[in-house]
Amino acid sequence: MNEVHWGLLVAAYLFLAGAGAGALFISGCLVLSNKIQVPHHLDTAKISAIVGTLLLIIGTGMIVFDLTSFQYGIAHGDMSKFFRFYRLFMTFEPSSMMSIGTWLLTLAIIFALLFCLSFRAKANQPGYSRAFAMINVILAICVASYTALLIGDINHNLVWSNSILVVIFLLSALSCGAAVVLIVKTRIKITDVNHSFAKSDSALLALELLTVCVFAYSIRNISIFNGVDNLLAISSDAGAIWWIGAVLIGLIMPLLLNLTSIISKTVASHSKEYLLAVLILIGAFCLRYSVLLAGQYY
Amino acid sequence: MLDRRRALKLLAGGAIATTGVMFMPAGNAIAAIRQQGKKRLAMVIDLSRCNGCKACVVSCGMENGTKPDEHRTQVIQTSAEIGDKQYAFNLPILCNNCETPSCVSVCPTGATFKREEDGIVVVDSTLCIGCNYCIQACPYGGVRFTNSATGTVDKCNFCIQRTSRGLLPACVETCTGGARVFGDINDVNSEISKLLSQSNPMVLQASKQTSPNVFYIGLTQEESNTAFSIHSPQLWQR
Repeated sequence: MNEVHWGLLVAAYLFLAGAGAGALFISGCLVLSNKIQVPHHLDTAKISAIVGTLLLIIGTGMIVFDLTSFQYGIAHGDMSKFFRFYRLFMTFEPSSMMSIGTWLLTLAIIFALLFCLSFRAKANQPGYSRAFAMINVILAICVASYTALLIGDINHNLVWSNSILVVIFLLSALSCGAAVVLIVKTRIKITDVNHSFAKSDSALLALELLTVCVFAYSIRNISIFNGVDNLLAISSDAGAIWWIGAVLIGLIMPLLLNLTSIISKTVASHSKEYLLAVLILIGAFCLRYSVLLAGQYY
Repeated sequence: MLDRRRALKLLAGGAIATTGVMFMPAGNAIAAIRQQGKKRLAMVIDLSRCNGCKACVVSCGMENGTKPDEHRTQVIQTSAEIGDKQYAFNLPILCNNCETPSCVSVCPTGATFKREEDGIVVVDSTLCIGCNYCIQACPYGGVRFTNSATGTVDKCNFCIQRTSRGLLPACVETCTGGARVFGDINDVNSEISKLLSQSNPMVLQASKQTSPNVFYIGLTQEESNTAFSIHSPQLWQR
């Protein structure tokens, strides 16, 4: 019934900010747990931090591209509209989740850059690296939660105002971060010999699958109560993206891939690890896009 | 110090107050606004007088220079049911210029604000960045839109350029059935105040607790609870 005002660009923003936060979280945890004494863990933490920071910056760029004033500025060559987004930094509105997010993301990007630079200081762990790692872990949790709170603040929206969405987005950000780290590990040819990564990733995906099902069930009940069609019915665009993209491709298939390598006790090939990571990332994007669409469809 | 007995009393008082607000009819809501002793501009739409000619839609577009497919106000032709009988009716929709607007608090730049002097909710197009957060926050679908001529959010502001000079909004002046009445509801001698006191006005979706300043005469309880949108398909489009 309503127009879709937040589409692919906002979904990309939520996804990239989540994935970036997830990668920074894992990188920070590697530093805090002293695992970076092992050279290949140091490389993983370093590259994951750089990739996470880049994702965070690109994600923030996506929300700027989505601003209608920015698009108008490009279309009409109007520089005042093009740079209008600077207004976000001229004020702080504590009642606006977007204003809070603007400053949170700014802080997160600054500290993520400092965290990346801290890896350059010495080959082994410098003292302040732990402090930056700690700040990054906290900010990563805040950013991942914020992506859900941004839409959750629309309290009359039947889909977005669901509280469990914060947990889903947090878990999804973490699994996205794990997928980014997996790609990094595969690139620098680190093999998951004792399946530790596969086991923890499986547990994360299983937990996410559970929360996603609880969410879908609650949306079904809310839809019935409000006398509207199920907002996540597979027959709708949002529902199809949700069930096929987010649940099947993003959760069930990666879970099965992980479980087969754990049960068969074989080391997953690099191509299989790439596939696993890509599936998780596609699923995470579909999850956010379908939630955005479902919230604007009724 | 807050003991248990006092805390329970406060909780009970809060619950009663909340329940009272949730089920407050439009008449009581008007009384609550009046107590503030400020000028409060509002509009009453008498549905029995609306013939669906859309003169208001055209005059609004001409007055405010919006494109033909972008509307600050629209008359949707919709239907409702009583028992097994279905009937059609015209429903003029515009920004409700709410007393507690959900669009104001979410605006990240302060571009959307409520004027102290008359209660009109306005969008400062020189501050608006077009993030569409206010559009998402507004429970009344489609009353806010992106104006393609400015690239920023636009909405009805009761023709502020006219009303600040003592003129009527364009839609009120051109309404062929005299369905739209505009004025200060805090002025007990105004036409709108008299009309509100003589009738049983309703507001759209009172459960959203935004205290709209657009009142409807002739709207049933069921109709007022329905979520209508400017983008709702017209009867002939179904």
